[in-house]
Amino acid sequence: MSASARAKVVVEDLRAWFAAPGRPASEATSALSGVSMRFAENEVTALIGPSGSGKSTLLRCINRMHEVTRGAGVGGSVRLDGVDVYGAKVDPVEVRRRIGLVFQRPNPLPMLSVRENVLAGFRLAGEPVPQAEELVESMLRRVALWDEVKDRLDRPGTSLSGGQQQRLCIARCLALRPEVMLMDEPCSALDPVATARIEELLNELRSKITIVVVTHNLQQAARVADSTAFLHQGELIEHEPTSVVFTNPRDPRTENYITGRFGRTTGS
Amino acid sequence: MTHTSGTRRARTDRLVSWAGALAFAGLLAPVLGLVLWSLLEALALGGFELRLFAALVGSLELCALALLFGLPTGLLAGLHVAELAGPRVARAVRMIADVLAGAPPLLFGVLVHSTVASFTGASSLLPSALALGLFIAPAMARATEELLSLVPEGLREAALGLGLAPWRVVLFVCLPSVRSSLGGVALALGARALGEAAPLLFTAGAVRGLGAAVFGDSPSLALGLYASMSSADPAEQGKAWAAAFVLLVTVVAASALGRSVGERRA
Repeated sequence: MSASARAKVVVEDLRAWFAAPGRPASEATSALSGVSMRFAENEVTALIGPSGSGKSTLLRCINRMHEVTRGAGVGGSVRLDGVDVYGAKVDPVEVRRRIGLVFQRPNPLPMLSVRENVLAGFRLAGEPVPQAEELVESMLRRVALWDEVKDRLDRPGTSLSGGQQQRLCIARCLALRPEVMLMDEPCSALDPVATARIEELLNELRSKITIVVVTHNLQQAARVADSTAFLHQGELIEHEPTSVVFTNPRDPRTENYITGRFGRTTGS
Repeated sequence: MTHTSGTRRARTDRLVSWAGALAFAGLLAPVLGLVLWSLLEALALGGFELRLFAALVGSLELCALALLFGLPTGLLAGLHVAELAGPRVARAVRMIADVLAGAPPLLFGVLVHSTVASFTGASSLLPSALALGLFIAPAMARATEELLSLVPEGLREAALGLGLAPWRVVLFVCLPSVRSSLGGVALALGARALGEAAPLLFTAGAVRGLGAAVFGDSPSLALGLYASMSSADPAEQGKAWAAAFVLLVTVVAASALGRSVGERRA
């Protein structure tokens, strides 16, 4: 994160866990143990780390999607523009409107058309969409999907290819004009061509919106992210500008991970 | 060696195929036999007459009203268990629904007769429909719950992630995604209610045969069939066979419609 950038999201001592249904929190499995970090405004932050390191959980804690899972609990604070999203008076629904989430698997709503999928956030919330056609076109253009789907806007969203579906999901998220967009391995189900499209899109959105992207693809993190955070076993190991993390990491665990030696020479 | 085991395998294969076909025929034969038999008996005894259609219309009315009671109640109970209730409440409601779904249908008639019917008068359409509705609701509740549990978690999360209130997610995303299956279940339950006479024995008023001049307050094919078949009069029995034929065909048609609706993907 560049030193001058304002922090859009500040996470402090964030703890997250999963308890089996009906069991007390003391017997829960911990997913995050006291993570504190800042996400700079209008920058791309990549979260990297081995499976089970808590990247996705951290992402889902930021827009209060973690608590949707049965038995999931959270402690600590997440502040969006200085306001704790876990505050007593804060409505999680409102938080999720301001902080959008793009999932690992493309998930257009199956009973809706391509057009309706773009407008889903408004329509399903019962809100009128003034100039809906213009919004659909501008959002689909933004994700470079318009030319491919302009003749089949009334076909089901699920009739598109995987890469197109993922871009449709990003368009659906962007249509709500979120301040922060969280992306949970958005390219892991896509081929290299579709992946390149999404990365182009990230580059384009950079400086307009705050983006946090979880990825297992280190080259991708190096290509798209301004800063990169390495998580391991529910802890934040380091969070530095991407160039620093990939060329001169502070912690040996980070170095082991990015050089692919993780678990072989030094283990955890 | 290979050759021997090959023919043995082929023989076993043939045997199992034939056993399967035989079992299927064994299931199909009674249904087809009953349809054919009732048709022949009804024709021989001159059972077909216009009044049958009055009874059919009465049955369909009763069935529609029963669905009106049973479906929303079952749907809401199922929704509650699947989406809102804690594990303990869910388990309790599920068990009650299972017990009710397995209870003898006659009991629903007894229950309505001894409670509601004492206010509305023993013989009217309303208590009958209520009894049938009670018969439908538990099955609808279980079907709703199970169908909702099949909604992919990803779909639910996609909608929640868009900043939709949880009740909107259930109502506008989860339910629509299983609506064709729910429609199929509803039609199949309607077909079952159509053929059910037991819950009506206490609530449909004086049980008259199909030949009775006035067809009682709530004409029902199934109930009329029961009454007419018990009669010693061959003409009355002919009407019962005719009723059986019409009922069977209607139930089979409704079930088939339910299937086709249920299998159609949204």
